[in-house]
Formats: sequence, structure tokens, C-alpha cells
Amino acid sequence: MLVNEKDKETINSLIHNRRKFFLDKKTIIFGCTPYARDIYQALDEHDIGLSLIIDNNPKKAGSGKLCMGIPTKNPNDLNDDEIRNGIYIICSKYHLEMTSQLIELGVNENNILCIHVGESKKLFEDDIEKMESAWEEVCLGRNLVDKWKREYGRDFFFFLLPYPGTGDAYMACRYLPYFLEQNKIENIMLVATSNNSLKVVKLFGYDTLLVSHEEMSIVLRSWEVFEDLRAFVKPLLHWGWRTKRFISSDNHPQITFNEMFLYDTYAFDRPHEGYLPKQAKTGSWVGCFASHGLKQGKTVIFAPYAGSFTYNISAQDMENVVIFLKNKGYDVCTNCFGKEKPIRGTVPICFPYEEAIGYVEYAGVFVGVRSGLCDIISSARAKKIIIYESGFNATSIDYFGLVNMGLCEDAIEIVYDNFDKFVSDIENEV
Amino acid sequence: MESKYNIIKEGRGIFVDIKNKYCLNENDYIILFPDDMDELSNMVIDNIEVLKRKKYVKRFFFVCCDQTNLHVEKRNDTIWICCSQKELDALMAYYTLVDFFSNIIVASYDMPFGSKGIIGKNGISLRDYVVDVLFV
Repeated sequence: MLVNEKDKETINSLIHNRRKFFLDKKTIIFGCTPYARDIYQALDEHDIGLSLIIDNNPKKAGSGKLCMGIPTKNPNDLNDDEIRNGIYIICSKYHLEMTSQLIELGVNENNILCIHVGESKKLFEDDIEKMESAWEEVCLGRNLVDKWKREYGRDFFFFLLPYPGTGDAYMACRYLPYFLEQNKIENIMLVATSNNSLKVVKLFGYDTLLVSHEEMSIVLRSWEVFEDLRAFVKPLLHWGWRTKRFISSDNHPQITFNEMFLYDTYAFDRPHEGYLPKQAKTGSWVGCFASHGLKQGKTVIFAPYAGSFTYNISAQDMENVVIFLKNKGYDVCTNCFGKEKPIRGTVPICFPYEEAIGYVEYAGVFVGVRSGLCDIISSARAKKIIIYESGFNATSIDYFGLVNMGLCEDAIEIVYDNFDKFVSDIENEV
Repeated sequence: MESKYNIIKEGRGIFVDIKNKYCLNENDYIILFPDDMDELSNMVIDNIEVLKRKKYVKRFFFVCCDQTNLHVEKRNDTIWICCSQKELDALMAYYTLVDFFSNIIVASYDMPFGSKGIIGKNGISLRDYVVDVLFV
């Protein structure tokens, strides 16, 4: 789940408009979700303290767990003071159920603030204007697909990568050859909204087309409305983009990101061996390491950034891990691009995806938060320590774990709960 | 495209009639049974109590065009709306265009999006699919 700019604006403006609502109250967010992060930021900007985050999922809340450094609880463990004096913020498509649960627990309905973003739609959207504007959009989407057909050829099949995550592109491409063979498709174009997705697609040797989010959105909408488009357009998504249908790993940990692409996206009737992306054997890493004074086989490539998700591991925690690694005799570099900053005390390096495995194998150790890069380097013969975060489902180890997904067997995977545990986990593994 | 739009408009008319006739509110849920997927439809019906508890539903509206093979039990909280195939198709067409009502479930594997590929894999049953995918 991604929080888009419109959602952020909605959250900010509502907190701003209702800022007096929070005076002399304990502010409590219901739901350890990515929205909680933006609500927390908006509260902070208005000098409103956040007391607690509650969630029904025991993997996210309770038993001393923190979310963004804030204590968490199961709603059933709320005390009288919290029930009486708490202001509860809900930002979820499950807002009706969550509101009902709070009311049943004794919370006054007036103390519940529901923020309606894309995830939590209004009850009715049946006005004529909405229908007319939606129709205009799907017609534009249809026209755009027709334009692609004219440009690339009537026999082309267009695969859509609506989600900008590189991991999604990786999984989609990993199994695409089987789908093409099964359906006797020859000429294809992979359509994506992010350059990073396209870079991953190119690793697998497919042609790409970059479109805007708006163009992708209208094509997806028209794909739903005009069934004939399904003969030559297919979204490569592991969840219903509009209905958000997918099977939750909370209840079915045996289903991972991998199975969803195999069986849901592609609807294969049996498992397949995933294709691996092409890797360039340029050896450019040798010169890069030499120029930065990094030792072969005794360097840690730290990858603290993930494109789609923001992690809560503080810069200080990262720096302390770097100090520990250096004390163990490792050189440490940060994989960073553009505006991303290297962790203090490390050398910034960046490498193209097609050389990622070469760099990691030459370094010897990779320590990174779970991102699409982890998929790409999963087959590298090196020590790979992958960091997952508790609190948010966004990078659940059950669902996105490299080992669980079958991408490799040798990854060392740790879940970041708090700094002390984080450091001791790293100490144990390096 | 014009004929498609007319079908969608007809779907909207059908929904608005239902909404007004039954004064739909946030505790109501509409389940559309769009075609002849009896096994899936009956799994939805047989597990409707799960949805009722999960979403605090007070009234269900089961919309279908043929009850013959469905588990039609007398329930105090359920109103069956039987319509023609054409009307049901129009409602579905409207749903593919607009999320006109947030409390709606389509008893289908692939409408408006998805596949049934996950069922039977790694221990996922049809019931799991209904309870954990359709009843999200």
C-alpha cells in the first residue's frame, strides 16, 4: 500500500482543521499502517503529541512493540483513561468496523476522527457527475490503448506494471516467459510508471514504455470496463488494484509475494522455476572499489533506502551499526542515488541493476532494508543480511521474505523492532 | 462505446432504485452473484455470517438472476433481489466503472479483477478465498 500525495494532503488538512480537537486529549491512532506515518508527521507539524498506536494484529501491536517509536497496544487492552480521554484517528478502508469496535469498547463516538483517503471511500459514489467523469476517463484510456496499437502494431500485447515498486517488476518478469509461451504471445511491450521498474524490465530483455500515473490509471480503468481489451492488455498485479483483493499473509503465511505472482497474477496451475535477470560481467566494481579504498571480500554494501517504502530505522541506529562493522574490520559503503545521502562514515557508491550481483559478490557482504534491490541480488554468492520492519505490513517478512519466497536459501533475515535487538542481530550474523 | 454507456446508465438506475427502495445505509451489504459460478456463490452464502460479524452488517441484499442452484435459506437479515440477466449485467457494468457503493461484493473470481489461480495452491481452499479475499 502506498500513500499518495493526495492522501497526504487530505491527512494534513484534516489535522490542521481539527487541531483544537486534540487539546488536553491523548491522541491515539488506530491502525499500524503506512497512513499512521503520515498522520504522525501531520500531528507533529501541529505540535500534537501522539500517545499510542493500537492495532488488532498481534504481529504489529502489543507485547512491548513500538511503531515509529510509539508504544502500541491491542484495542482490547486500552485502559479506562485511554477510553475516556483518547482521541482516536482512523484512516482505513475498515473504518466502519474499527469505529464499531471502539464504540463497543466504550469510546465516545465524538472522540473518533475518521480520515477518508483513497483507501476509505465514501459509502455512496452514485451521483451522475461521478459516472460521467469516470466514463470520460475510461474512454480516454481506451483511446490511449488504441494509440499504442497503432504505434507498435496490431499484434502487440501490452503488460501493465501499475505499481512502481522494482520488486513487483522483478516478480512479474521472472515468470512472464511461461505466460507468453502458454498463450503463444510473441510481440510484447511492458508499460510502467517508474524508471526503476523499467530498468528491472530491461534486465530481463523486454521492451518498455514509460507512461504517467494518470495514463496508467485510465488504462486500468478502461481495462475493467471494456472486456475486449483483455485480449491484448494485462495488468501484472498481485492484488486487485481497485478492489484491493489479495490474500493476507497474516492468515496464510504459506502464501508469499512469489505465490501471488505465480498463481494469482499469472494463474499458473503449477509452480515454475523463475527466470533470472541478465547480469553484466563488466568488472567495473574492481575499479570502483579500488578508487574508494574498499577491500574485496571485506566490504559491507549498506542499502538503507527502499523506493516504495520509508523505513523507521533512524540514521543514528544505522551509524552505530556502521561503527560496529568497521570495528570488526569491514569497510562500509552506502548504496545511494540522487538525493539519498550515504550513512555517515561510509563511502557512497551506486551501481546499475545489471551490475548489482557483481558488486555484492565482490564486496562480500550486503546489508539492506527489504527493497526491490534485494530481489535482484538474491542470487548473489555473498553474505546477504536483509532487514524487515515490524509494525507495518509493507515489508512483512512472511510475505516478502527472500527465503520464504524461494528466491534464495542463504539470506539472513532480521526484523527490526528496536535498536538493541537490531545491533545484536547484526553482531550475531556478521 | 455508446451502447456500453447506456448499459452503465441502466445499471446506475437499478442501483438507485434499490438504494431508495431499501434506504441503504452503512450497515447494509450488497452481494452480486453475476453468473453461473454456483460453487463460489454458495460458498459466499454459506459463510455470510463471517462477513456479518466482520463488517457489522445488519442487512444483506443478495442480487442474482437465477436462484435455482443457490442455497436459498430463510434468513431474517437477507433480502433476495432477483432480476434479469440483462439487469444484472448492467449493474456489473456500472460497478466496473464506479465504486458506487462501498459495501458491495461481487461473488466472482475475476470480476472486476483477479483470478482463481490461488485456490488449491499451498493449502488455500475456496472457503479461504471467500473469507480472506472476497470478504476483505
